[in-house]
Amino acid sequence: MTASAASHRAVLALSVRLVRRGALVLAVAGAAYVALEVVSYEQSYPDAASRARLATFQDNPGVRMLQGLARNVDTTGGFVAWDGGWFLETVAAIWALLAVLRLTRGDEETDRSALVLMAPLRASRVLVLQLLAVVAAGLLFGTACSVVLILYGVPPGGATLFGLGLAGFTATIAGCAALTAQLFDVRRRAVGAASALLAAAYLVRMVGNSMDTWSWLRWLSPYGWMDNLEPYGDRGWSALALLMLTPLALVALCSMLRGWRDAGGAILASTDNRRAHNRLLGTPLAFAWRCSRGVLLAWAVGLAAYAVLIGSLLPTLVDYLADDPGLRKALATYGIEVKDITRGMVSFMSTMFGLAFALYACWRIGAARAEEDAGRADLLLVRPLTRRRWLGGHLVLTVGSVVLLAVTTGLSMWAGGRLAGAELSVADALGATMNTVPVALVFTAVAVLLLGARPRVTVVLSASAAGVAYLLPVLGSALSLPVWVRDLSPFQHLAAVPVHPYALTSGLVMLGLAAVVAALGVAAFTRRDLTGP
Amino acid sequence: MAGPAIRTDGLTKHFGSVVALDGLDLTVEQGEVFGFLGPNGAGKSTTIRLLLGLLRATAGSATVMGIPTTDVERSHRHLAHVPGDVALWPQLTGAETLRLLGNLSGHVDEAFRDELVERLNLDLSKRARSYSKGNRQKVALVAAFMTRPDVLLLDEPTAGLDPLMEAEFQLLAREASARGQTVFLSSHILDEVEDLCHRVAILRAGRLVEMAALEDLRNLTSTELEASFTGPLPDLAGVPGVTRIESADHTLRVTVTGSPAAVLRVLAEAGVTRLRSHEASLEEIFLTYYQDETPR
Repeated sequence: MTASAASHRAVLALSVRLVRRGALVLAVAGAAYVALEVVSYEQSYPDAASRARLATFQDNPGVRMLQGLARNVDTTGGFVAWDGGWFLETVAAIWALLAVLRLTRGDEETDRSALVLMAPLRASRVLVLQLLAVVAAGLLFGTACSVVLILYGVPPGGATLFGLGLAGFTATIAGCAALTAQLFDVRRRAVGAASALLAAAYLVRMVGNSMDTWSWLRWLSPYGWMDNLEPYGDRGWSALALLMLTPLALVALCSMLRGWRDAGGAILASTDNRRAHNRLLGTPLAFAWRCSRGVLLAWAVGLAAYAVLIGSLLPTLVDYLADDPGLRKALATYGIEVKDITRGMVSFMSTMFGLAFALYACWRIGAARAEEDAGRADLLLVRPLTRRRWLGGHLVLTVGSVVLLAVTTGLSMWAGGRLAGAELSVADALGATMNTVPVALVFTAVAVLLLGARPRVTVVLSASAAGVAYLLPVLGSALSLPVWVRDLSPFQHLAAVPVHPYALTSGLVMLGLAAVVAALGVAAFTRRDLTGP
Repeated sequence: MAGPAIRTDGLTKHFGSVVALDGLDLTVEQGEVFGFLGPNGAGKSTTIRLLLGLLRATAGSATVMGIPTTDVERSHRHLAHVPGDVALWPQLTGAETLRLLGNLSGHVDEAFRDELVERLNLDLSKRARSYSKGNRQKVALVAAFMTRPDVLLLDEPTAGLDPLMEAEFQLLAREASARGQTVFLSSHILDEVEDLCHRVAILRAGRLVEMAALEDLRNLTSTELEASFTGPLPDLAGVPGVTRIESADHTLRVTVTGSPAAVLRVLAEAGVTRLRSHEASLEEIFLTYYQDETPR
């Protein structure tokens, strides 16, 4: 009895330890983001009249589809739940998804789990304890967001309900990830499947919000449950029940499935025998392409789907945006006038795509780091292949992939716009997404520099830097930061293409900077010790 | 090409404040099978990773076939490596892995590769993620031998192999040496070292504590004689070469260093009925190096 209690505690303590740093960062980031939302709301919509006008977003299908239902947006809490909710939900969900699959399928893949399964506990019980750690992290995140809202004077009841909803949303996605961990025997595949589920949940909500007749679809998506939660209005208790009970049901299901399968096995195990495919094994560059093209395709498809949607929503969005003073002001900070609002929206959205390209690039350089960390790079580098050529290959592929993503995203946005009858030319759409490529390359270079100098934080630091740089221009105007601080962000130096002409000088400066920083990174990489297994 | 296969001059590696390798001076001749021994953490893998140019030396230098280890494009044309812990691409099959590594090496003896796969009994159609530790090791061994490199750097290559495969590996190493290839073998399996190696170096806490031919090491050691008598036991005190005497009932246990001729004469005169001799195994010798607190 006591031995079992000790084992429970030990497994839980290990799981908590493995996620606690990420959980803390997530909670702090969530709290900071909520604070930012509150501050920018009070600055952009200071009076009742401007807030009342926001409420008209409720009637705009475009806004409803992208951001969810604009309910009670004349209150601070309601605005944060609407404007920032989907973002908070998505970020926490992605973190929980990755954490669950790292703890479960990842440790099974490397057989670390065997050490834990030695404990006098059933494997299904170990899984439940691991999930408990991630669910607790979600609860911490929700609590942090609630506390900040309450500190800003949002009604505690609504703020608590919103925080609970966030925790339930995070736990639901954690449960979905645990389910894919039972189904697939390779972590990459489980991550792909869980991400696809999350994307599907977003799309279902989008469709559910597009027309009143389809509003029942919201009940099929956790995003929709958050829409139906209405923490500052009618209080959707059935939505709350779904957000609380679904994780429980998923944990029970996963625990049952775990009992049915072998350690390291899966419900849908793939075969390990196959004929050799010898293409793309000839050179380091070809091989790096072979290893990365699957993930690139997933990014391209995901971004393209989103870009098509954005494009198709342009006409409806533009109609409503023209009337909103807050967003007009936001556009004005980018120097965009009302008559240019379609192309302004394209420029605005493309900056967000630029962040996505930068994040892809950071991840892509991180993939090279992962090869080194696992010791697989050693197998290549003990052959007549210099480190410069190896890393150079990864760099070339990253640059090529970023350009490819920019082109597909731009074309998709144009295609979506054309379908919906927006006034958008191919050149405008492509110009807008290509405009952000130098920014993505700056962060590619930052990642390479980190790989050379501080390899352990290659992805974390470069991706965080990209995120902060993206927020800096927005933050800068909301918090009235000094100009030189705002100028630190490469995003600040982007011209609002296609409304304004391409800023050639800053583009060239960014490319030059990227080249120098990347060269420094490659040089540092060739000089340091490789950190094998 | 004349000259040593491997040469290190004061090769030193610090990791922060930890001295992993301290002034290693080593010369390995071509065609030699060189054993590299030492307890865990003595610096064996560090030495091999320095020779491969994966680590940068803090001080000193090393050459492989006369080429500085920092010039990996040239030095790696002569080298092959089997790591102690083989990490493969989980999604690739064994055949794909060998194809990739062969393409990067540039020159593969394909007939020999097929022979190696056959002799090591490796199933190449499986994805690497389903390979056991022993099978991953086999992939690395095939990849190393198939290019017929001048120098093989092997870091505990048989960890995880079954005894049959271990024997096959020893055969491969011997054949390689007979063809003039140099084998640098880091190992904990003392039998393997004893059977294969011409010379050994023993490393402890980053320092070289012994480097000698196996024959010389054996000569350094003493012989233990166990003699049985029906009559009274002879007095061996003062007999040349005797370093230790132990007696029980009708048996004498004597430790002799150097020639046992004088002792044998005394034993014969006393009417020895049964004589057993035991030469200290290399294992016992090695263990003294492993256990000593301070280097000799």
